[in-house]
Amino acid sequence: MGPTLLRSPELRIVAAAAVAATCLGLAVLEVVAARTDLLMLDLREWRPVGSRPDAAAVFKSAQTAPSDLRPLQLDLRLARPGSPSDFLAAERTFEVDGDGCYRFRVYVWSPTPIHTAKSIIAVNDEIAWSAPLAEASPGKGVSIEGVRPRQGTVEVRLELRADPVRASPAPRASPASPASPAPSVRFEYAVLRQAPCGEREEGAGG
Amino acid sequence: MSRRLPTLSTGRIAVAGAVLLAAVLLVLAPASVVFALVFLGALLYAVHTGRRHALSPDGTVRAAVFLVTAAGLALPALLGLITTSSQTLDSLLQPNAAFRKDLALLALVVVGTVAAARFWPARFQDRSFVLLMVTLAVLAKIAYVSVVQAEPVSDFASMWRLSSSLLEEGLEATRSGLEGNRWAHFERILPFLFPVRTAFGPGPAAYAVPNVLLAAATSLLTYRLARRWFGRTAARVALVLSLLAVETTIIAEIPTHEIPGAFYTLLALTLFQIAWDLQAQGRSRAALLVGAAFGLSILVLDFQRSTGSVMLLSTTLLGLGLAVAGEPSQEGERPEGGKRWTRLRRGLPLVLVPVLAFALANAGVRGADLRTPPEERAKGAGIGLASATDSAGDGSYVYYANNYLWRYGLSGVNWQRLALVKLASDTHYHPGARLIHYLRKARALFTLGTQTYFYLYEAKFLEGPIDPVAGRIYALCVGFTSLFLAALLVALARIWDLPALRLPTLAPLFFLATFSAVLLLLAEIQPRYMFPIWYIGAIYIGALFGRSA
Repeated sequence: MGPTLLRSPELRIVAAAAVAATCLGLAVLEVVAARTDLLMLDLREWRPVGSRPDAAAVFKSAQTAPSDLRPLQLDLRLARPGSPSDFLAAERTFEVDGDGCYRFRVYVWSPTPIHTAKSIIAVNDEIAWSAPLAEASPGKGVSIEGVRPRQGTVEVRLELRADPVRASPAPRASPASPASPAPSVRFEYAVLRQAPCGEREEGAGG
Repeated sequence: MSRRLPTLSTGRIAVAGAVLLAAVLLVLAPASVVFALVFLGALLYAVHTGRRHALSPDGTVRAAVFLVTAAGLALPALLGLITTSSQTLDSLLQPNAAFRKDLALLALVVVGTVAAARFWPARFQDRSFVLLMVTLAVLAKIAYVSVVQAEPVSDFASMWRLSSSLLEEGLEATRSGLEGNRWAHFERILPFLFPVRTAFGPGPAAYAVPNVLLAAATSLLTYRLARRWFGRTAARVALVLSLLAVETTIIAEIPTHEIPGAFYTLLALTLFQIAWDLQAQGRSRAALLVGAAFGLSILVLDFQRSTGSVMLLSTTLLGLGLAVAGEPSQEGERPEGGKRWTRLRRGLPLVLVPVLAFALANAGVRGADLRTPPEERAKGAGIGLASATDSAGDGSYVYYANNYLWRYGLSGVNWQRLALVKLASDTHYHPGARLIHYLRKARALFTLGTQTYFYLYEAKFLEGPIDPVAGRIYALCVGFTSLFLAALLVALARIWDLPALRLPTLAPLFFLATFSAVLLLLAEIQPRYMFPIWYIGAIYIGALFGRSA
């Protein structure tokens, strides 16, 4: 490249202006992100809980590792269930300001519309939403209203549980059958924000 | 022994201080403070430098294009070259000697034809060279597509079937028949292709032969632009490079919209060049008419390949730069008009007319229900933004992302808002990862030529044994891509001081760099999206052999 252009004051000025514009945009974005209650939750720092000793390992391998830079989605995949009560969950306690009510919203995606497993969302140790994976396939928006903090915290648990009872009316697949896909579910776009207090309810939709 | 210490200017000390302060604050303070301080530092530096030097509008526009080119094209192309050349090396190391022979033969053909273009005897007319090369290329390519007879896979197959049924049933132009099916639209805009389709029936030749012909026409437009700006030698080199590009042959086997998209891109750029040439000659009325045609061609491009908005943005920005900087009426002369406002008053209409022509025609086709309403388009754009701006993307083919999200079909979701919240969240948690994400996507976007291979052969691999011919074609694709990207990088490093590099000659480069940057920042990527690079890149590689030589 030519020395004329590289040494020109115009290039230095345009480069400085580009850096300034980029930094201004990022600074504004940071300020907006810090002040908005719409910021999505960072889904990397969840505690894995499983029914089997190796569940944590399954969780780690199934969940996208932080090194893969995936902060906004959480993947849970159950190895082909060995028993009907197998489960894999991710728990996290959020500190919140104030004693008002909160709304927890998350999108639940399942690539496989199978009936042998269900996804569960528990808030403060109570099951707030539960549905077979078939209902979360291809995707479903879940909104849990009227969440009241306990001692300034809200505990959320996202779970995937084997549920062979629901295999009917489809032919019940053998847990070890190679033809049956491993149940998996993805939680994405999770938001916890203040909302008007009302009767606690669960709902689906956008 | 005395040594003279290097002198430090005030500006350098200020920049060094700002960098040090930013580094300390990066550890101690929230990210927004660092961003704000760097912003202030950069702004002060720009103002300080601006007060010390008299700035030239022409130089400022060049500098802006240079920066966009460096970030949007040169850096991604370098990453793509590293990736692709390693694949070429893999091919060379294969035990099958056919790869090595194929690549050696390819290199020989490329070097031989470029040398022929460079040293074409002056006593022979350029026209004979063009005719010879285009005829040879078209015949060879038609022979190739006739032998291969590849069946289209993936969405191209469904696109072709829908197009065939639409055209055979004689349906009137509708939104589903035009925008919903780009191949049908392609044939309607270029009706001379109908006889080809009729002659070849419903088989693959019905789209493969028009593809070959249209790719040759695009090469001719490439030749024309290169000759206008960089001379005959440059034009001959650009022509042979664009004809030799392996992907332009391979992709002709499927009913793709890349080839018509590239044709409309070069057509729009040619009209842009003609309009500004007329303006420089003082023929303002003719310039405005061609400018209006340029605006309409952008709409056609938008129909075909959805890149009209980037073309409109890049050419409008460059047009504004041209209007401010002025354009010499003859090479080497100073801009006419003298005062900046006089030049701006003369040039501004030519900036506005294409935008107006595009907007009015766009409103017309939308009113006739031939175009998707803006709210539906915005919905699609929102999904694209939501799916692609997550720094989670691994940078490989994320082509499934849009379809993946579309399938969920969540009704009532404000996707645009969701996309913005996702962008803010992602940047908040991972500001540094955004840069890594850009680089990862850049590397994937510039593995040029590989996706054509994917569309043609990977699906077949899943169904049966690996076709050895496919492997050889893949080796040729990555081999040519390596050569081409290396030459393009040399060109991008050297063209800035060419005497022939006037501002209008930067239009194709600016469009391509802007398009690449927009893809890498906001959109889903596939290497085939960069298809116009085989033509636009060839112009600037050819420039190295042109008036600078």
